Amino acid sequence: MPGPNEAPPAGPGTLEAAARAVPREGPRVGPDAAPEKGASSALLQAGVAQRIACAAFAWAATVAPFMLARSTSWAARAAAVLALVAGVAGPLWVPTRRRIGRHLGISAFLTLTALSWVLLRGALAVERLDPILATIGSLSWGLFAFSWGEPWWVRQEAQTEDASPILRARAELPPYAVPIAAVGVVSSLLLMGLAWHVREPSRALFAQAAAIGVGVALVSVAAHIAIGRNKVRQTSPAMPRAGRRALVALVVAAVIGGAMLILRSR
Amino acid sequence: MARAIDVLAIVLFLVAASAFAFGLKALSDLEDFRALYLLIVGALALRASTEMLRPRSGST
Repeated sequence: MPGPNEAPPAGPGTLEAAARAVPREGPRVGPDAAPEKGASSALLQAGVAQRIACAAFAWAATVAPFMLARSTSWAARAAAVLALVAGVAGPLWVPTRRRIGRHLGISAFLTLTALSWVLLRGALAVERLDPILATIGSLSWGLFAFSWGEPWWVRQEAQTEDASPILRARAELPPYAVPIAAVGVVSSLLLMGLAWHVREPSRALFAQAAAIGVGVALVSVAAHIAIGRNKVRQTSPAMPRAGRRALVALVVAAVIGGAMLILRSR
Repeated sequence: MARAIDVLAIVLFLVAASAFAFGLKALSDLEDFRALYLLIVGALALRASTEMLRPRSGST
């Protein structure tokens, strides 16, 4: 009989028993603990390699070029090296000690990288930034953020009953939907890269903001065009009134603005 | 007609992307008025391409 302060034993079908069966975060003991398995087996765990690769890529694109400069202080170099160690070691700990791994791989990596940037202030001046390297750096940090989400290569097919009928899609994509969406994504990325060519600080800030806003709009409209064409064909073959208005507004603005541009240039 | 609208929407989308690119180029060349003009034209072209494919109200 359990005492007054003891919890009753959970039966095999209870929620409590199920909760106990789920592995919790924290140190594991036993034959499957991380130190026994080693780093090589930890690399094979879902999501570990992708996080290490993305952290190393972000570090190589945005920290390493400045660290290798002769004028860099030893403190900055030490912070940069520690950041790389944290970025690589953190994901290795995630399968067994999730909390420690995330703190190392995200919190410590970001803190040490930011510290190395602070110590490298001179190298990060806007005038000295290389546009291509800056674009690659922005993309690499985006990849790093995504890498800490779901594992990219683990995909489990849903179990299906043999006797169940095959599920069919309710609609098909219009032709050229994927190329149109791809053009939207690529053009928005190109615009973000182009914004790094604006050198004057106040204009550069505006260019970055405009490039991000315009990039989002381009991707959104490309997706709209990619999937929205069949709907128009099925419902209304003529050009909608709002479309005609928008087209007229575009032509009027283009003509008036063009005329003003010509007058200003004279 | 529907195919022509599709093509027009795609052309307007490409015009918008080009206008944005030339607008950013003008901004880097310190031509503020030209940059503003191209960004506005790009935004209007993007809006027009969206409105082209919007189904008519009451037709669904």
